Amino acid sequence: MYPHERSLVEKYPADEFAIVGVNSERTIEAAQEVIKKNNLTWLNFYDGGTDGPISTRWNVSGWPTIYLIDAQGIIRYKDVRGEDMDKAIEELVAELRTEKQKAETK
Amino acid sequence: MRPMLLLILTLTISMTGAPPVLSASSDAPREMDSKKEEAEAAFKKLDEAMSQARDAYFEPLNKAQKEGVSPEEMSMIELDPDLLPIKVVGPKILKAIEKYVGTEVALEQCSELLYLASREESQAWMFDRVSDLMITHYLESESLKNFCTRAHYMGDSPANVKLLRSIFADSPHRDVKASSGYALAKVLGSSKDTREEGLELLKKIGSDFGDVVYYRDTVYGDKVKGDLFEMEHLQIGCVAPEIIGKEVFGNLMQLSSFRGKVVLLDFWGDW
Repeated sequence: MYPHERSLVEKYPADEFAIVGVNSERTIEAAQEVIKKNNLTWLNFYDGGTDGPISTRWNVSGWPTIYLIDAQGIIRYKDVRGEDMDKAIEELVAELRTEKQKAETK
Repeated sequence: MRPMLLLILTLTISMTGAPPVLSASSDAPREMDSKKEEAEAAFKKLDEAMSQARDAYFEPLNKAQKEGVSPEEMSMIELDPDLLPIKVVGPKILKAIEKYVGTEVALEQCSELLYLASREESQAWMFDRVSDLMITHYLESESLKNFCTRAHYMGDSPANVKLLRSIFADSPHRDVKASSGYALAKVLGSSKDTREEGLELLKKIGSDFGDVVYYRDTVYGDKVKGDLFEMEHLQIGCVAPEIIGKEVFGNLMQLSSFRGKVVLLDFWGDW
Protein backbone atom coordinates (compact mmCIF):
# COMPACT_ATOMS: atom_id res chain seq x y z
CA MET A 1 0.00 0.00 0.00
CA TYR A 2 2.68 2.55 0.98
CA PRO A 3 4.64 2.42 -2.30
CA HIS A 4 1.40 2.76 -4.25
CA GLU A 5 0.31 5.79 -2.23
CA ARG A 6 3.76 7.34 -2.49
CA SER A 7 3.64 6.99 -6.29
CA LEU A 8 0.30 8.82 -6.35
CA VAL A 9 1.66 11.70 -4.29
CA GLU A 10 4.63 11.92 -6.65
CA LYS A 11 2.47 11.69 -9.77
CA TYR A 12 0.29 14.76 -9.09
CA PRO A 13 1.25 18.32 -8.14
CA ALA A 14 0.55 19.17 -4.49
CA ASP A 15 -2.10 21.75 -5.43
CA GLU A 16 -4.17 19.14 -7.24
CA PHE A 17 -4.05 16.03 -5.10
CA ALA A 18 -3.43 15.15 -1.46
CA ILE A 19 -3.62 12.08 0.72
CA VAL A 20 -5.08 12.75 4.15
CA GLY A 21 -4.66 9.84 6.53
CA VAL A 22 -6.62 9.01 9.66
CA ASN A 23 -4.25 6.86 11.65
CA SER A 24 -5.65 4.35 14.11
CA GLU A 25 -2.50 3.20 15.85
CA ARG A 26 -3.04 2.66 19.60
CA THR A 27 -0.37 5.13 20.70
CA ILE A 28 0.96 8.34 19.19
CA GLU A 29 4.51 6.98 19.45
CA ALA A 30 3.55 3.97 17.34
CA ALA A 31 1.90 6.25 14.77
CA GLN A 32 4.96 8.52 14.55
CA GLU A 33 7.27 5.55 14.23
CA VAL A 34 5.36 3.86 11.42
CA ILE A 35 5.17 7.15 9.50
CA LYS A 36 8.90 7.78 9.85
CA LYS A 37 9.86 4.20 9.14
CA ASN A 38 7.86 4.11 5.90
CA ASN A 39 8.79 7.61 4.86
CA LEU A 40 5.21 8.81 4.50
CA THR A 41 5.21 12.39 3.32
CA TRP A 42 1.51 13.20 3.73
CA LEU A 43 -0.45 14.43 6.75
CA ASN A 44 -2.36 12.19 9.11
CA PHE A 45 -4.98 12.85 11.75
CA TYR A 46 -4.23 10.89 14.90
CA ASP A 47 -7.33 8.99 16.06
CA GLY A 48 -5.95 7.02 19.01
CA GLY A 49 -7.16 3.53 18.08
CA THR A 50 -9.78 1.85 15.94
CA ASP A 51 -12.49 3.16 18.27
CA GLY A 52 -11.25 6.75 18.04
CA PRO A 53 -13.66 9.68 17.58
CA ILE A 54 -13.08 10.16 13.84
CA SER A 55 -13.43 6.46 12.94
CA THR A 56 -16.50 6.22 15.15
CA ARG A 57 -18.18 9.21 13.55
CA TRP A 58 -17.36 7.96 10.05
CA ASN A 59 -18.70 4.51 11.07
CA VAL A 60 -15.51 2.79 9.96
CA SER A 61 -15.41 -0.92 10.75
CA GLY A 62 -12.64 -2.13 8.45
CA TRP A 63 -9.13 -0.85 7.78
CA PRO A 64 -8.11 0.51 5.41
CA THR A 65 -11.31 2.34 4.48
CA ILE A 66 -11.01 4.83 1.63
CA TYR A 67 -13.04 7.85 0.57
CA LEU A 68 -12.28 9.88 -2.53
CA ILE A 69 -13.35 13.50 -2.19
CA ASP A 70 -13.38 15.91 -5.12
CA ALA A 71 -12.09 19.48 -5.19
CA GLN A 72 -15.52 20.78 -4.09
CA GLY A 73 -15.43 18.58 -1.00
CA ILE A 74 -18.01 16.08 -2.30
CA ILE A 75 -17.64 12.35 -1.60
CA ARG A 76 -17.32 10.78 -5.03
CA TYR A 77 -16.04 7.25 -4.41
CA LYS A 78 -16.02 4.88 -1.45
CA ASP A 79 -13.69 1.96 -0.98
CA VAL A 80 -12.10 1.88 -4.41
CA ARG A 81 -8.87 -0.09 -4.57
CA GLY A 82 -5.92 -0.70 -6.86
CA GLU A 83 -6.43 0.21 -10.49
CA ASP A 84 -9.98 1.41 -9.90
CA MET A 85 -8.66 3.88 -7.35
CA ASP A 86 -6.03 5.17 -9.79
CA LYS A 87 -8.66 5.64 -12.49
CA ALA A 88 -10.99 7.44 -10.11
CA ILE A 89 -8.27 9.85 -8.99
CA GLU A 90 -7.29 10.47 -12.60
CA GLU A 91 -10.92 11.29 -13.41
CA LEU A 92 -11.31 13.73 -10.52
CA VAL A 93 -8.01 15.48 -11.21
CA ALA A 94 -8.96 15.83 -14.89
CA GLU A 95 -12.25 17.39 -13.79
CA LEU A 96 -10.39 19.84 -11.58
CA ARG A 97 -8.08 20.84 -14.44
CA THR A 98 -11.02 21.44 -16.76
CA GLU A 99 -12.69 23.62 -14.13
CA LYS A 100 -9.51 25.63 -13.65
CA GLN A 101 -9.11 26.17 -17.39
CA LYS A 102 -12.70 27.34 -17.66
CA ALA A 103 -12.12 29.81 -14.85
CA GLU A 104 -8.96 31.15 -16.51
CA THR A 105 -10.52 31.68 -19.94
CA LYS A 106 -13.46 33.60 -18.49
CA MET B 1 -20.47 -39.72 58.47
CA ARG B 2 -22.45 -42.68 57.28
CA PRO B 3 -24.96 -40.93 54.97
CA MET B 4 -22.13 -38.99 53.32
CA LEU B 5 -20.23 -42.17 52.55
CA LEU B 6 -23.35 -43.69 51.07
CA LEU B 7 -23.89 -40.70 48.86
CA ILE B 8 -20.36 -40.82 47.53
CA LEU B 9 -20.72 -44.52 46.86
CA THR B 10 -23.95 -44.03 44.97
CA LEU B 11 -22.44 -41.27 42.90
CA THR B 12 -19.38 -43.34 42.06
CA ILE B 13 -21.51 -46.22 40.90
CA SER B 14 -23.76 -44.06 38.80
CA MET B 15 -20.82 -42.34 37.19
CA THR B 16 -18.97 -45.55 36.33
CA GLY B 17 -22.00 -46.83 34.55
CA ALA B 18 -23.17 -49.51 36.99
CA PRO B 19 -26.89 -50.38 36.90
CA PRO B 20 -28.88 -47.21 37.51
CA VAL B 21 -29.36 -46.51 41.20
CA LEU B 22 -31.30 -43.34 40.70
CA SER B 23 -34.34 -44.49 38.70
CA ALA B 24 -35.05 -44.13 35.03
CA SER B 25 -35.10 -40.33 34.94
CA SER B 26 -31.27 -40.18 34.79
CA ASP B 27 -31.25 -41.97 31.44
CA ALA B 28 -32.45 -39.05 29.38
CA PRO B 29 -29.57 -36.65 30.09
CA ARG B 30 -27.08 -39.45 29.71
CA GLU B 31 -28.50 -40.30 26.33
CA MET B 32 -28.23 -36.64 25.40
CA ASP B 33 -24.61 -36.60 26.51
CA SER B 34 -23.73 -39.55 24.36
CA LYS B 35 -25.57 -38.05 21.40
CA LYS B 36 -23.66 -34.83 21.95
CA GLU B 37 -20.34 -36.66 22.03
CA GLU B 38 -21.22 -38.64 18.95
CA ALA B 39 -22.21 -35.45 17.16
CA GLU B 40 -19.00 -33.69 18.14
CA ALA B 41 -16.92 -36.59 16.86
CA ALA B 42 -18.85 -36.70 13.59
CA PHE B 43 -18.48 -32.97 12.95
CA LYS B 44 -14.80 -33.08 13.84
CA LYS B 45 -14.28 -35.64 11.10
CA LEU B 46 -16.23 -33.47 8.69
CA ASP B 47 -14.11 -30.45 9.63
CA GLU B 48 -11.06 -32.43 8.65
CA ALA B 49 -12.71 -33.47 5.40
CA MET B 50 -13.49 -29.80 4.78
CA SER B 51 -9.92 -28.70 5.27
CA GLN B 52 -8.69 -31.48 2.95
CA ALA B 53 -11.23 -30.41 0.35
CA ARG B 54 -9.99 -26.84 0.68
CA ASP B 55 -6.39 -27.96 0.12
CA ALA B 56 -7.43 -29.91 -2.96
CA TYR B 57 -9.41 -26.96 -4.33
CA PHE B 58 -6.57 -24.47 -3.89
CA GLU B 59 -3.83 -26.92 -4.92
CA PRO B 60 -3.21 -25.30 -8.35
CA LEU B 61 -2.58 -21.93 -6.66
CA ASN B 62 -0.27 -23.39 -4.02
CA LYS B 63 1.65 -25.25 -6.68
CA ALA B 64 2.03 -22.11 -8.79
CA GLN B 65 3.19 -20.14 -5.77
CA LYS B 66 5.86 -22.71 -5.01
CA GLU B 67 7.02 -22.56 -8.61
CA GLY B 68 7.36 -18.79 -8.32
CA VAL B 69 4.73 -17.88 -10.90
CA SER B 70 4.12 -14.13 -11.33
CA PRO B 71 1.02 -12.50 -9.78
CA GLU B 72 -0.42 -11.81 -13.27
CA GLU B 73 -0.17 -15.47 -14.21
CA MET B 74 -1.54 -16.46 -10.81
CA SER B 75 -4.68 -14.44 -11.44
CA MET B 76 -5.21 -16.37 -14.71
CA ILE B 77 -5.36 -19.75 -12.97
CA GLU B 78 -8.87 -21.16 -12.92
CA LEU B 79 -9.93 -23.43 -10.08
CA ASP B 80 -12.12 -26.46 -10.76
CA PRO B 81 -15.69 -25.52 -9.76
CA ASP B 82 -16.50 -29.20 -9.16
CA LEU B 83 -13.94 -29.22 -6.37
CA LEU B 84 -15.57 -26.36 -4.45
CA PRO B 85 -15.34 -27.51 -0.80
CA ILE B 86 -18.98 -26.77 -0.14
CA LYS B 87 -19.98 -28.88 -3.14
CA VAL B 88 -17.77 -31.78 -2.07
CA VAL B 89 -18.30 -31.83 1.70
CA GLY B 90 -21.39 -29.62 2.16
CA PRO B 91 -23.97 -32.37 1.49
CA LYS B 92 -22.27 -34.62 4.07
CA ILE B 93 -22.35 -31.86 6.65
CA LEU B 94 -26.02 -31.27 5.85
CA LYS B 95 -26.75 -34.97 6.44
CA ALA B 96 -24.95 -34.88 9.78
CA ILE B 97 -26.86 -31.73 10.78
CA GLU B 98 -30.13 -33.52 10.01
CA LYS B 99 -29.02 -36.53 12.06
CA TYR B 100 -27.88 -34.52 15.09
CA VAL B 101 -30.37 -31.69 14.84
CA GLY B 102 -31.11 -30.20 18.26
CA THR B 103 -27.52 -30.30 19.52
CA GLU B 104 -25.48 -27.13 19.98
CA VAL B 105 -22.69 -28.35 17.77
CA ALA B 106 -25.12 -28.96 14.90
CA LEU B 107 -26.31 -25.37 15.24
CA GLU B 108 -22.72 -24.11 14.96
CA GLN B 109 -22.40 -26.13 11.78
CA CYS B 110 -25.63 -24.64 10.42
CA SER B 111 -24.18 -21.18 10.81
CA GLU B 112 -20.92 -22.18 9.14
CA LEU B 113 -22.70 -23.88 6.25
CA LEU B 114 -25.01 -20.91 5.69
CA TYR B 115 -21.99 -18.64 5.46
CA LEU B 116 -20.33 -20.83 2.82
CA ALA B 117 -23.58 -21.37 0.91
CA SER B 118 -24.31 -17.64 0.82
CA ARG B 119 -21.13 -17.08 -1.18
CA GLU B 120 -21.98 -19.54 -3.99
CA GLU B 121 -25.04 -18.93 -6.12
CA SER B 122 -25.23 -22.61 -7.04
CA GLN B 123 -25.66 -23.47 -3.35
CA ALA B 124 -28.87 -21.50 -2.77
CA TRP B 125 -30.74 -24.79 -2.26
CA MET B 126 -28.40 -25.60 0.62
CA PHE B 127 -29.04 -22.21 2.21
CA ASP B 128 -32.81 -22.88 1.96
CA ARG B 129 -32.53 -26.32 3.57
CA VAL B 130 -30.30 -25.23 6.44
CA SER B 131 -32.28 -22.09 7.21
CA ASP B 132 -35.51 -24.15 7.33
CA LEU B 133 -33.87 -26.52 9.81
CA MET B 134 -32.89 -23.58 11.98
CA ILE B 135 -36.42 -22.19 11.94
CA THR B 136 -37.89 -25.57 12.86
CA HIS B 137 -35.44 -26.56 15.59
CA TYR B 138 -33.50 -23.64 16.97
CA LEU B 139 -35.67 -20.55 17.38
CA GLU B 140 -35.43 -20.90 21.18
CA SER B 141 -31.63 -21.14 21.23
CA GLU B 142 -29.57 -18.28 22.62
CA SER B 143 -26.59 -19.43 20.52
CA LEU B 144 -28.39 -18.12 17.43
CA LYS B 145 -26.65 -14.88 18.28
CA ASN B 146 -23.43 -16.25 16.77
CA PHE B 147 -25.21 -16.64 13.46
CA CYS B 148 -26.99 -13.30 13.69
CA THR B 149 -23.82 -11.28 14.21
CA ARG B 150 -22.59 -12.52 10.80
CA ALA B 151 -25.94 -12.70 9.04
CA HIS B 152 -25.80 -9.30 7.35
CA TYR B 153 -22.77 -10.49 5.38
CA MET B 154 -24.87 -13.32 3.95
CA GLY B 155 -26.87 -11.31 1.46
CA ASP B 156 -30.51 -10.38 0.92
CA SER B 157 -31.75 -13.71 -0.39
CA PRO B 158 -35.41 -14.48 0.48
CA ALA B 159 -34.20 -17.38 2.65
CA ASN B 160 -31.92 -15.18 4.74
CA VAL B 161 -34.64 -12.54 5.14
CA LYS B 162 -37.16 -15.21 6.17
CA LEU B 163 -34.77 -16.73 8.69
CA LEU B 164 -33.92 -13.37 10.26
CA ARG B 165 -37.60 -12.38 10.38
CA SER B 166 -38.47 -15.63 12.16
CA ILE B 167 -35.68 -15.24 14.72
CA PHE B 168 -36.54 -11.59 15.36
CA ALA B 169 -40.23 -12.41 15.84
CA ASP B 170 -39.90 -15.57 17.94
CA SER B 171 -36.66 -15.58 19.89
CA PRO B 172 -37.26 -15.38 23.65
CA HIS B 173 -33.81 -13.83 24.18
CA ARG B 174 -33.41 -10.09 24.07
CA ASP B 175 -29.81 -10.13 22.78
CA VAL B 176 -30.78 -12.55 20.00
CA LYS B 177 -33.70 -10.30 19.08
CA ALA B 178 -31.37 -7.29 18.95
CA SER B 179 -28.75 -9.00 16.76
CA SER B 180 -31.29 -10.59 14.39
CA GLY B 181 -33.24 -7.33 14.08
CA TYR B 182 -30.06 -5.39 13.37
CA ALA B 183 -28.95 -7.88 10.72
CA LEU B 184 -32.41 -7.82 9.15
CA ALA B 185 -32.37 -4.01 9.06
CA LYS B 186 -28.97 -4.00 7.34
CA VAL B 187 -30.04 -6.65 4.83
CA LEU B 188 -33.32 -4.87 4.01
CA GLY B 189 -31.56 -1.52 3.86
CA SER B 190 -29.09 -2.79 1.27
CA SER B 191 -31.71 -3.30 -1.45
CA LYS B 192 -33.70 -0.51 -3.05
CA ASP B 193 -37.20 -1.95 -2.69
CA THR B 194 -36.92 -2.58 1.03
CA ARG B 195 -34.72 0.35 1.96
CA GLU B 196 -37.43 2.25 3.81
CA GLU B 197 -38.41 -0.76 5.88
CA GLY B 198 -34.76 -1.36 6.72
CA LEU B 199 -34.32 2.23 7.84
CA GLU B 200 -37.42 2.10 10.07
CA LEU B 201 -36.30 -1.15 11.64
CA LEU B 202 -32.81 0.21 12.20
CA LYS B 203 -34.27 3.14 14.16
CA LYS B 204 -36.44 0.73 16.15
CA ILE B 205 -33.40 -1.39 17.09
CA GLY B 206 -31.61 1.77 18.21
CA SER B 207 -34.48 2.81 20.47
CA ASP B 208 -35.82 -0.57 21.74
CA PHE B 209 -32.49 -2.40 22.07
CA GLY B 210 -30.12 0.56 22.45
CA ASP B 211 -28.61 -0.78 25.68
CA VAL B 212 -27.80 -4.28 24.35
CA VAL B 213 -24.10 -4.88 23.66
CA TYR B 214 -23.21 -5.06 19.96
CA TYR B 215 -19.49 -5.73 20.25
CA ARG B 216 -17.07 -5.16 23.13
CA ASP B 217 -17.84 -1.64 24.48
CA THR B 218 -20.28 -0.69 21.74
CA VAL B 219 -24.04 -0.96 22.33
CA TYR B 220 -26.65 -1.11 19.56
CA GLY B 221 -27.69 2.44 20.36
CA ASP B 222 -24.25 3.76 19.32
CA LYS B 223 -23.90 1.36 16.39
CA VAL B 224 -27.23 2.43 14.95
CA LYS B 225 -26.35 6.09 15.41
CA GLY B 226 -23.21 5.48 13.35
CA ASP B 227 -25.11 3.63 10.63
CA LEU B 228 -27.74 6.36 10.38
CA PHE B 229 -25.05 9.04 10.17
CA GLU B 230 -23.36 7.06 7.39
CA MET B 231 -26.64 6.70 5.46
CA GLU B 232 -27.37 10.39 5.73
CA HIS B 233 -23.96 12.05 5.44
CA LEU B 234 -21.40 9.61 4.07
CA GLN B 235 -22.97 8.55 0.78
CA ILE B 236 -21.56 9.32 -2.64
CA GLY B 237 -22.69 12.85 -3.51
CA CYS B 238 -22.68 14.11 0.09
CA VAL B 239 -20.40 16.92 1.22
CA ALA B 240 -17.69 15.23 3.29
CA PRO B 241 -18.30 15.98 6.98
CA GLU B 242 -15.68 18.21 8.59
CA ILE B 243 -12.84 16.62 10.52
CA ILE B 244 -10.90 18.77 12.96
CA GLY B 245 -8.14 17.13 14.91
CA LYS B 246 -4.49 16.83 15.74
CA GLU B 247 -1.97 15.75 13.16
CA VAL B 248 0.25 12.84 14.25
CA PHE B 249 3.15 15.27 14.73
CA GLY B 250 1.11 17.75 16.70
CA ASN B 251 -0.43 20.57 14.62
CA LEU B 252 -4.17 21.09 14.55
CA MET B 253 -5.63 20.56 11.09
CA GLN B 254 -8.99 20.33 9.36
CA LEU B 255 -10.21 18.39 6.37
CA SER B 256 -11.98 21.37 4.76
CA SER B 257 -8.65 23.18 4.39
CA PHE B 258 -7.88 20.72 1.57
CA ARG B 259 -10.75 22.08 -0.56
CA GLY B 260 -9.61 22.79 -4.09
CA LYS B 261 -7.66 19.55 -4.25
CA VAL B 262 -8.72 15.98 -4.86
CA VAL B 263 -8.39 14.20 -1.52
CA LEU B 264 -7.80 10.54 -0.82
CA LEU B 265 -9.07 10.14 2.74
CA ASP B 266 -7.48 6.99 4.07
CA PHE B 267 -8.41 5.39 7.42
CA TRP B 268 -5.42 3.20 8.11
CA GLY B 269 -3.26 1.43 10.64
CA ASP B 270 -0.06 -0.56 10.35
CA TRP B 271 -1.23 -4.03 11.43
